[in-house]
Amino acid sequence: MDKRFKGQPAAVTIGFLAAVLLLFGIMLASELGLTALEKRTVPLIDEAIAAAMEGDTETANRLSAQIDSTLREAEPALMLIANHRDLMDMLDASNKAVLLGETGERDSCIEALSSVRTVLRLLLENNDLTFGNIL
Amino acid sequence: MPTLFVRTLIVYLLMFAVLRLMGKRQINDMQPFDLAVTLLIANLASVPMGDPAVPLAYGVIPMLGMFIIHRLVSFASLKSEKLRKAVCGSPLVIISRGVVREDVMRAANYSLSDLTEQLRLKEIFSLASVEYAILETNGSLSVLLKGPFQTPTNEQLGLESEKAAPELMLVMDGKIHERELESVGLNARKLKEILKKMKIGTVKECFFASLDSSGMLHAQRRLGFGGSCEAHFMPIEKAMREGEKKNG
Repeated sequence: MDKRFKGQPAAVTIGFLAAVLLLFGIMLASELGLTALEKRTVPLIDEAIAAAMEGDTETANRLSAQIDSTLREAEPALMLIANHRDLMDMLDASNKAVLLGETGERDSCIEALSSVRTVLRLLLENNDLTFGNIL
Repeated sequence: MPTLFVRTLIVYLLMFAVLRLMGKRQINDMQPFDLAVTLLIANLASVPMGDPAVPLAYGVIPMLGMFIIHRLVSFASLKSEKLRKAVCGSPLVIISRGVVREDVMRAANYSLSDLTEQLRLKEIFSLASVEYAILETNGSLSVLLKGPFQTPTNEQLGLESEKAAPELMLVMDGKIHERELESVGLNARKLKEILKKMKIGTVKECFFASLDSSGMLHAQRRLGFGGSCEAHFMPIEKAMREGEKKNG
């Protein structure tokens, strides 16, 4: 006789609980990972853009390098939850911001940093449960 | 390319588990809603399989989500008749007391062609012979024929009938099914003796051995073990008596 739980076969109940745990595990890990990344990178991007706009290319370049290295560190984890093409776009833009910052091309550097912020926002939207986002 | 293969393997295993845990119904027994969910899960599985740029989570999360929601809805449907009706719908009486209900058919978008086709599939070629026809929620048609067109039962004909029971497979592909064997009061040793009487030397040589409700043992030898592969029949009681005599 098959073991049952609340009238359902034990295998189905175990499978159901495992699916719930796995689903919430993935969602929690992605929420924690993305929130941590957001806290680390978004203020840096804002600071870097502000510095570039003020003409402080040295600070903008230093912050761009910091953003690029943070994103590259997070890349393996991000690959689990983000579209790889979006990730490549983001890393290309952050790399471009570093290179342009070195040569002092202010407008292009700001443009590249804005691209990084746009893709990052797109990734963060996956965990943003606002009405507009869901729809 | 190996990445694609490993991803395919992971998605296959997950889809296999999800579909098995959702219930092992045949496609033609499924409610339209169940079918839609199954197709949707199969479709979700294909997303990360075909595109390595899409993370596995994009397929796994919706698949798990669909499975969890579907199990919850199925479980709640078992508990609540109202929800069951909302999810599965209600059966519709298409023919009632021999009268074809045009209003019901219109409401269900069910044409006369559909009705006659379903009846023909049930080997009913005249609407006049149908007393009731009910369109079930899974789209199949259940039919009750008028009295004069119904097949008489053994009871109605006053015939004696044997106790009906499904056939038991005692051996399949050279392997003994212990549970079935125990249920008919046999063991492996006795079965081997019986098979020998049926000219099948060992269990391994036996393609199948089944026992029907009348007590008739039906066995056949596997290919590649020499001898003929013809079917052998022997009443189980006779086989057991002969075995006891030999042992005695």
